[in-house]
Amino acid sequence: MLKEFFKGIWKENPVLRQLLGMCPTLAVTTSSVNGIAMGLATTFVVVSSGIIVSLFRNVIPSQVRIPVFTVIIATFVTLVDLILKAYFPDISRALGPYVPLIVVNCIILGRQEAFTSKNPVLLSVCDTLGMGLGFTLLLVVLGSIREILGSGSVFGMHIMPAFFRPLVIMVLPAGAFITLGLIAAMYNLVNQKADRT
Amino acid sequence: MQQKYSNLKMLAVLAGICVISAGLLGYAHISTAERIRENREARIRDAVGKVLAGIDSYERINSEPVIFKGMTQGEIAGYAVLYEGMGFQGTIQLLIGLDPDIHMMKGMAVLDSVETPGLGDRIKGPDFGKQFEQMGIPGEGEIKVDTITGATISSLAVEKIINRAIGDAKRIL
Repeated sequence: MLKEFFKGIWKENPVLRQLLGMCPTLAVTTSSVNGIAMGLATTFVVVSSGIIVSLFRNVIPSQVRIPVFTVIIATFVTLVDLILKAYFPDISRALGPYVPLIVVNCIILGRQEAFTSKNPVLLSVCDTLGMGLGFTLLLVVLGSIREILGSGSVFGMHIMPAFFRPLVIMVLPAGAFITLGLIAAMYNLVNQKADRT
Repeated sequence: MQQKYSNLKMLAVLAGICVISAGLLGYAHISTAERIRENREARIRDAVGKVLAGIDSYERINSEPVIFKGMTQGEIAGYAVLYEGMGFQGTIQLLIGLDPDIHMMKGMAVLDSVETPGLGDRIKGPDFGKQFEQMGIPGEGEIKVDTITGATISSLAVEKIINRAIGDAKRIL
């Protein structure tokens, strides 16, 4: 069970290993706060839809499984959107159109197809929670690096010395691609080293 | 026969899921609608207070565009015009504070924008916003803004929106 949980964090990290969910990963990570908000919203959706899909896995006819998964996912995404708008308006404004776009995050549909529709509820929770938190972790790391270099702050707190000039490119899309590329390269390097020993 | 049965089952499951989902979302919508509306009103209230500093009360006197009239001790203190236009990446919505004769701007607040973080979104910052406090409006009603380095398009978009809003305000008031 722990194996199912931890594989999402490192070994099968949805962003670094499966290269899924690139759009939100690159688009919203201009700051650490955006990263954590997007990550947790996605985690909530993937875990809740995982539970429902897993519960009904024997009832859902395989011919209509994709539309059924999509409706379930879309329902949870809309719930998250309404809750953010009502109770966390600042986060909702910062994430803008990317909250409704969680619907098309392929990590979520991918988990239903690959795991929760074939496994019992408890295992599905471990799998989806691991995937969600692995995604969140990557988004926070990416968001923090971009915020430190691009705005001189982290989680909104100013930390860089006065002589530091923010690198504007880091908050632009190019900075997201460069940073993600370097993180993915380091991830592969560490894994290669680990394989050899 | 077998085929027919499985078609029915497909329909039943899909329809059932959709009905449950619709019911759930309807309930969620009803229970959050009030708060979402309050949040929006609170934002407008804060913004009106910011662009028309020192007013006691305000009321909405026009829609299309939305105009608020701010009062101080029974006298008209100024007008706030809600106006939107295209920015660099999407719509920018501004609230523009004007003095009662529309000879001067009293302030500007950005209500909604999706400008680039770190560049275009500095139109929300105090350094850019300060120039609109007590900014005179020339006779022909076209103001000029000091643009932000690296965010010329966003700055000029703000200028354009303000000038349109002033034009409309002059026509209506």
